[in-house]
Amino acid sequence: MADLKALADAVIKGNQTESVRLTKEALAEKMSPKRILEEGLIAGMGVVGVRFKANEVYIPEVLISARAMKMAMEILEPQLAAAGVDPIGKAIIGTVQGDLHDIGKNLVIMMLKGAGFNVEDIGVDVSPDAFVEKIKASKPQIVGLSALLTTTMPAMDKTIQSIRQAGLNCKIMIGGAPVTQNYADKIGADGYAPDAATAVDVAKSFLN
Amino acid sequence: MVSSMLKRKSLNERVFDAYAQKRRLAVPLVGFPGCDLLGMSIKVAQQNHGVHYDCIDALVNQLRPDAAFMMMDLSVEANALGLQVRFPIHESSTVEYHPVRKVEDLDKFRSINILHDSRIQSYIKTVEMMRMGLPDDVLVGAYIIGPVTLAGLLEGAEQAAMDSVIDPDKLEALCRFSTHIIQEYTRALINAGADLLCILEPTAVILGPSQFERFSAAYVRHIIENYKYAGVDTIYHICGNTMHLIEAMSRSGVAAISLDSPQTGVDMVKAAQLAGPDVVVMGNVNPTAVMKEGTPEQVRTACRSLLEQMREIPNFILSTGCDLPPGVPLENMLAFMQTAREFN
Repeated sequence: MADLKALADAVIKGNQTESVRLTKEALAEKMSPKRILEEGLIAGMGVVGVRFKANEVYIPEVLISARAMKMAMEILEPQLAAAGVDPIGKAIIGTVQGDLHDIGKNLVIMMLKGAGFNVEDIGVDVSPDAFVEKIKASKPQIVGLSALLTTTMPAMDKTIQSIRQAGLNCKIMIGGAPVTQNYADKIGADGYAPDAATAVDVAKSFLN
Repeated sequence: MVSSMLKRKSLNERVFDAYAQKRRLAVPLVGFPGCDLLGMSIKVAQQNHGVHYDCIDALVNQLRPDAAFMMMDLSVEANALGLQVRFPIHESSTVEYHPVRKVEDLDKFRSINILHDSRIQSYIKTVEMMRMGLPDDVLVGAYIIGPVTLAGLLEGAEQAAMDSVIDPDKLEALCRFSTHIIQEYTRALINAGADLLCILEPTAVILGPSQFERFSAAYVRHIIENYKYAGVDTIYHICGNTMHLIEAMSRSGVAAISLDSPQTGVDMVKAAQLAGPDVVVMGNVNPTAVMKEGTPEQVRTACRSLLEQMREIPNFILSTGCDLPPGVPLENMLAFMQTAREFN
């Protein structure tokens, strides 16, 4: 019998060899992909998120766990689709125009995937028009804007204006080192998260 | 340089002297707004030392801070190693591509003398001009990149973070190489007349305390040891919430630590307690929400509130949480300085 607790532990420890092996083993035993996702991968990333918030682990450990989850997800995703398992929500995320720093964005993507979201990474240095086009094409419920630099923060404002002017119905959340709740309020973002773990809470709150 | 060394007081002494006289040193981290004052682009200033100096000189004339820094540029060392860098007109330059995959990839950089690089020379010349041209009572500040941040530019910040756990030997090699590069530049900046060397280590904020000690603080300590009789004081600057790193930063041998704004989670009073009485803490007025977006009155309120919180702490310099972006109104910078000068 495949051990989903061991799979969760492999994610927590960031052991990608084990996370892949245990996922394959569970699938070979005809365990439901949804159960593998929820009791193995999401459970593991959930623990990592809690530990991260409590300063018990730091970003390097989160990245390694997320990588172990990602490798397992590559095997699991086709099975989930075949089994008709829906993600809990759909999000697209990119860094705003002029900003090439993607570590924060990547962390949020991995944490959201770890929480069961379907997340599309639209990359770095994304112009307001490109955000609008991507939203039109993918129709996400949630759009994430990331900026590391104080100099690129104004691009968040411009991007939100473009999305609103295009009349697109989606919730916009922002984050990044210089960003604050005040700034989010000022530019009309629907949500702000100071870290990747909180981003999951904010994204989930949009679904209710 | 010799005459300035003979009359030189350490940063620590200056801070304590000021406190004894019921004053506070005020050092906003400001460079780019100098471009606004002169109608110059950041691109020109970062590549033309005459314009660069003129921008800093214009800021010093307006603000009369206790120290003035050159413009912050996290790409200059990496650019000198030949990494691909983007040069926007009105933003600081940024490294676009991180080519190192394995330790052997460093070999192609080893024969490069970064002091022969034109942009490195431009920054050194800017510091020389600051030494010659700025008033004697304004300390001359230069920036150097931190070892983890340069390693992150070489192999990508995400990879560097993961390597700190899964391949520490590789990250050690990158940090050792980075430290060698940083030391070359440090020596040249000291020779050019820098009084203060601020080590910019933003990427290290993602590390835990033990990783930070191993990959950043240990190398910073090594750099400081090498230049401890050179008449220069060092400052560790890390953006973001550094509360988990304050003790390791303070034990690295630096004269001061420079911390980001309260909105990132930094508590200056607590940070000062963690740093201890011998390390100066600098910060932490919000560079965007207050300095750029706020009114002069909001700047005054934020500065007064911070000065009041730090009233009983001698080892404090009023500064901004990070480098001021372009577009910060002059009235706000003047309000910052005026509040610092009037507070007692």
